[in-house]
Amino acid sequence: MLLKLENVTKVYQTDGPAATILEDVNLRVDSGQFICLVGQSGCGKSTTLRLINGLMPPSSGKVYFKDKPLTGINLQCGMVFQNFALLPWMTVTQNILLALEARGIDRAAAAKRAAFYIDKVGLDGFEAAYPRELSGGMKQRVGLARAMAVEPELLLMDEPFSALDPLTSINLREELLDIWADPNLAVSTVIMVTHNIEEAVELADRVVLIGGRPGHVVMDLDITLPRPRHKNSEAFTRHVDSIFSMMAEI
Amino acid sequence: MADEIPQIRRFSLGYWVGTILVLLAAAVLARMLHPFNHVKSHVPASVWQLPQDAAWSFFRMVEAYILSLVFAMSVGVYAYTNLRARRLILPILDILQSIPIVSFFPAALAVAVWLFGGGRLGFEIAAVVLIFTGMSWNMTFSVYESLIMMPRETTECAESFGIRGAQRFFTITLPVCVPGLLYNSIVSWAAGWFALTACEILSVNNQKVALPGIGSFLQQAANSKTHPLELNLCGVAVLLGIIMMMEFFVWRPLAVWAEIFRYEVAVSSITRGHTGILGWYQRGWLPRAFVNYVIFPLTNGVAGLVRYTRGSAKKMVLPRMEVPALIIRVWSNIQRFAGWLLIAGLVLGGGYYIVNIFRHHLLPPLAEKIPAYIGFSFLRILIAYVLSMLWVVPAVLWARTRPRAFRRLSSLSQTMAGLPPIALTFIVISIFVEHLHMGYWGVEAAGMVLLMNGVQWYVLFNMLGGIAKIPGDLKEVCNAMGLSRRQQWRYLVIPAILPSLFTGTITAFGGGWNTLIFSEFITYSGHTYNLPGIGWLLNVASGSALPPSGKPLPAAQAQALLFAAVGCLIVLIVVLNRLLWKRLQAWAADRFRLDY
Ligand SMILES: Nc1ncnc2c1ncn2[C@@H]1O[C@H](COP(=O)(O)OP(=O)(O)O)[C@@H](O)[C@H]1O
Ligand SMILES: [Mg+2]
Repeated sequence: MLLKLENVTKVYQTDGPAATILEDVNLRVDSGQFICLVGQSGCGKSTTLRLINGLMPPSSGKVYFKDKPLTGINLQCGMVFQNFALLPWMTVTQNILLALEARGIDRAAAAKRAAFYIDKVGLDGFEAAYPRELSGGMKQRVGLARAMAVEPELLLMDEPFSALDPLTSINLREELLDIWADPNLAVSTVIMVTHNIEEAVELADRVVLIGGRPGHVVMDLDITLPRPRHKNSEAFTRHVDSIFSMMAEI
Repeated sequence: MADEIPQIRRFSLGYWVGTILVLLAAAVLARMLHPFNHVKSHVPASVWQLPQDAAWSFFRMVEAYILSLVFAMSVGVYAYTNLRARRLILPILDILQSIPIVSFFPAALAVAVWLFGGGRLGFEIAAVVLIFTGMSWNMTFSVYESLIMMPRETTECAESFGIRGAQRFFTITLPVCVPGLLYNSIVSWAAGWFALTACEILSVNNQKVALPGIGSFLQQAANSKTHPLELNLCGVAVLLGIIMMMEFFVWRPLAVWAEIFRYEVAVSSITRGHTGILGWYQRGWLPRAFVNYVIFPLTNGVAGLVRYTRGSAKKMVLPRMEVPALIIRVWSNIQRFAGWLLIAGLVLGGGYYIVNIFRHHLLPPLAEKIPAYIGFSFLRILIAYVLSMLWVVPAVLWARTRPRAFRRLSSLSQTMAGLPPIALTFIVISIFVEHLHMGYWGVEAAGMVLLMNGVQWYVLFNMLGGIAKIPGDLKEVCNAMGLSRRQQWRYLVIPAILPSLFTGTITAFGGGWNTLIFSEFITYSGHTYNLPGIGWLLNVASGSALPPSGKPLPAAQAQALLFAAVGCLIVLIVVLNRLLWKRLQAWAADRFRLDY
């Protein structure tokens, strides 16, 4: 088992009263799965992802990665952010190199790897461009290339397509599936947060619905439809409907 | 914008670092070629000395600026990373920022003289430290604010990818601070020039020490019995020349270059148009050759040297290792302990020092005048502020739709803010006192003009910044709705600039308190003109002015008076800030914020 969340609870302590966002979240993830976390906005999806990455500790409960409890940042993860989190003062290549050099990969190898992944996400020709010269879709490709370039065992994505226009996000979703299926690439396990149910059913092996106040796992649905999936097929709509009706109940 | 990028890349961080290092090297070289060993109480103003004086002052400014940069980065980052320290650092900075720099004089002088003896080195260091006290606080705030405003995703990204230590500092922390730091550097340089006179003429134990420099030149020129006007004009011309050269060679290209460090795409209109040496560089082959073969080799060569040494140092770094948790815990405890020790030492030492001063003079002479004089001075600042607003607001509203005028005005505010009051003294005194024969009210009028010079540019600068920040789509929608000019002012412009107006007001009052030292005690051509106010009292306490008795106060009494006056000022300023300005500012920032 790659990842296990055991009775994870998260309490945010801000100026006002403490807010319990997540309570007793339990989740097991095996290698090679594509998982989508869905739920209404504000239910704690991003929080869950950050707990998995080790960006903050759970208030109680434990996160296990490969059976070892997590104590800090998990560098075996690569994160893709909703608003890209690119540094505006660095070119595409520099943004990716930064992540590689942080891991102590030497310069020559890092440069080769960066070029490889820039090519993979279809950004060749833009190596020296600054983020502000790129469209939203291209920025997110850089974000994806950066996360994959560290060759993580677990790829985390927080609403990676929400800030993009619909057409761009359809294209990028397809490319993501290609990349995920590519045997040459290291990425095998993906956890993606989205609030778009159809997107989740289109991409995932397994859809995990988080809901309630405080949030917990209310539904864990395996999706075994063959890929590519067709949105208007009957099985597809059935899955979407069942998730929607579950969401309406909570 | 896009076509400018190749040029911007050439004016890289290396240009800034290189410029600073070239200047520092020049400063050190000058000191070595021209060793100083004795101090003088009086440096006669001579036009032939002027270039040398200007160079000395410039080097002092550069040194103080480097000190400020280092201070701002380290304290700003510390306040950002350490929540507990933040709660202490921010209020202290807030106070330091708003008290007149003359308050630091006794401490800086005492320390410098104690450490380096009464030789010129000690006074040089004291002068640099004093300029530093006028430059660094706003820069520190800007570093802190840039870090606080940094998008949360950026920090998370850094942590998620394990970017830390020096790598994080140079690739994230420092770049994030660049735009704010640059804007505040311009303000700080203006503040430094403004305070230069006071920093170059020091008085210790009722003895005056004048360091060669443009600030003391101006002071001596104003007191010259033979050619005050001519000497002053020469001094002012040289000073304005330096300020404009700085703008042309340093601030303008850096402002264009710093656009790359902004998160938002909007290009601020302050940096549009006039781009200093950058525009020059783009225009023709001769300037380009000059920049390529003279400026770049110099700056980039030095920067390259730094990069080379850093690179070879990097090759030797040890592989990353995990520091055991125990060591981290012990180390952070040691740090915390040392921090508390430092604070305790400062509080106890300071307390002892103050108690010792007041032991003999519970009420130093003139102390009973402090409340009334603070009142008079406050009234003067208020009037100066109102008078400034009377022309600044119409000017800004008028310039809003005229880009050229807008740029001119912002350029003017940056240049004029650096003009020390002493540079204007000769004009105002000769007009109001010598030609109009207005007597006491002439001195009041002269002081008011000087005071306005310390107040109005801050208001102008901030209001222009507020105007520049109004989003284009709001302007378009107002035009589309066919709102008249007057309606646009009422419904768009005035609400949108209110937050900047309050920020400007706070800085303007800070500037006002700083200017009082110069506007309430004016010396010109052998005459001295006093106004009853806290500025004059501070001059008496620091030994620059004589008390009514005509005999200088004994050192102990002078110190006690200084502490009492500064203490009262601090209390008043803190109360005003807390109860009035900060609340108004928070209200305006909340009520009229432009994002929703
Ligand atoms: N750092 C934080 N401090 C306090 N409250 C937070 C913090 N981050 C998120 N929250 C709150 O926790 C809740 C869940 O946030 P989040 O995990 O981002 O939700 P989602 O990603 O599902 O929309 C929200 O109500 C949000 O306001
Ligand atoms: Mg979220």
